[in-house]
Amino acid sequence: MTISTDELVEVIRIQLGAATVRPEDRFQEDLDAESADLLNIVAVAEDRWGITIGEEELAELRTVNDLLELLRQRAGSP
Amino acid sequence: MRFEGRSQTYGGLWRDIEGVATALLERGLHPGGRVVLVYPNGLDFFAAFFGVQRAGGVSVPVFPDSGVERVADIAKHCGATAVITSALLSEARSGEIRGLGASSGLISLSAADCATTTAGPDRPTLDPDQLAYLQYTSGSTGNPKGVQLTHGDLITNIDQMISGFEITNDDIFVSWLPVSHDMGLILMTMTPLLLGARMILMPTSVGSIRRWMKTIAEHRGTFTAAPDFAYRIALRTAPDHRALDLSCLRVALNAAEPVRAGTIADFESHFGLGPTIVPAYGLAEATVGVAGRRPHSPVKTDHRGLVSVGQPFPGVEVEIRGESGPAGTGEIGEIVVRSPAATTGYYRNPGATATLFEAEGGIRTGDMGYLDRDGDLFIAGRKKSIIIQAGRTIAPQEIEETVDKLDFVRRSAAIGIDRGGPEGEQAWVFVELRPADAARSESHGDMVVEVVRAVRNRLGRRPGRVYLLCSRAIPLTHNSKVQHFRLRRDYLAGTLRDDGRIVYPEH
Repeated sequence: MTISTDELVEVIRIQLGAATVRPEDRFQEDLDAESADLLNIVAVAEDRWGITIGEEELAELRTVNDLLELLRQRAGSP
Repeated sequence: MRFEGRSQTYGGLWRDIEGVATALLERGLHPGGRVVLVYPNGLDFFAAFFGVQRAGGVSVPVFPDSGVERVADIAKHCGATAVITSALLSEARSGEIRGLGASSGLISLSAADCATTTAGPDRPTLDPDQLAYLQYTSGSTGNPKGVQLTHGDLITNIDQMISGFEITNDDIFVSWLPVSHDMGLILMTMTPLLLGARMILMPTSVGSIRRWMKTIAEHRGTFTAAPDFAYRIALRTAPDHRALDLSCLRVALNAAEPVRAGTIADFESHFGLGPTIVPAYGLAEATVGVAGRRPHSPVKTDHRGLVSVGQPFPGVEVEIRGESGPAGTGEIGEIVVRSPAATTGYYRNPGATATLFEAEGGIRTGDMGYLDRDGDLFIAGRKKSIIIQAGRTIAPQEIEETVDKLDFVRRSAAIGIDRGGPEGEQAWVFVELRPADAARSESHGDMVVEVVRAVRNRLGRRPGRVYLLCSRAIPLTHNSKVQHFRLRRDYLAGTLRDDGRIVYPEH
């Protein structure tokens, strides 16, 4: 299963109510997202792509690309 | 008092208080005049809060992330004379609020306007029955509810809590709770100030929650407080007892949202502590504290897994109102509170005030619970459809009124959903689209973005989820009010999706 950058970007854009989101954007500094927002984004991603992400991993996420990386790793594993 | 590495002495605080009082009196604040305060956590808040009172005024703190519209609504509703903004607010925010002043006759002051000087007009003498503070709770925008509290109420409740939690001036308080809200303000800052105890204040942020236990260990904090969700985050993000010595912690109060037995067990075992978490219960209408477990008593749970919040503080009476008269022991009913620290009502809101009190004068809390045979109180749930997000109560109407203004929205409904995650309950918004808009699927994403933005601008927080529904999807009562409990039930049972009422997201 492939997760497209565009799809993830759209999920984030909608959850944050942001006009634009770029893959290199940092959640806190560029997108003004707090922990709660990240949890929501991940919850939606989990629902959509059937993957689970732990909170310790969430703490490591700084940019949209980080999340994309993590989701792709998860999606790739059996 | 310490905040982010800076400290303030009592002497310094007093001088700053006098400075604010002078600035207000020189600008014509009358006795009893209301002053809105927009302050995130920081040392400067206290000079403003008490400076207003020193000048004979009434402090009206608001949640610092509130949109300018909400600040305006509150200022207008209470007929405020002035608004003071913290130096910690961004230029943009301060500018917005100053603009408010310009258009509405409201005097707006910044920290710079409050020179530290003890000179100035005479201070009015205060008496305990005078209003000191208005705590606005979430309500419909057309019906704001400002709990009115006197100096006497504040001191009485602080004394009740000092007694209930055995607080002394040797206690060291550590808190990140917002000073704009009752628990953070009255329990965690006014109590140490009254006693002359040490206070370590932190910003209100998830970062603070992560650093919270470490800060307690560093400063040898003895007393802290937070809603349940925060203890869950803390135990996931802080090192455990092998790296962190929290033996100094005497009381970790757990209140403002349902207390989970699992949180207490996990927290105490993670940090190698005996009974330290103290479940408690209160509401702004009773100033803040109503009941709490005695420090160091083990958790008491019932067969349902509900956690007891202990006994009412000395001087506070709790009754349970059943279907037809007083409830029997163990029977669940509405919690009614009587206390010398109870409010006399909502400011300039006779309608809401009338429904707050029973005929005999007790406060109808809107919370359901029971007393067991030992007289210990258990909270069973809420009567109203109030959402509790991260310990902060939000009335669905406040979200709904904001969202209903969007042009593609026919009707909206906000409910609290707790998915069992560390963040606890969140506000989920269900939006019924106008038929033409329900069809425009390519714009659905943008509609959600607008809803999220609107809620964020109004409340300072984003909703947890937004679902777009087709027309006539939200269950209503016979008189067209949203039936929140039915909507929640339908969502959780999956029938909303099965019936095809959810239009977006589609998965």
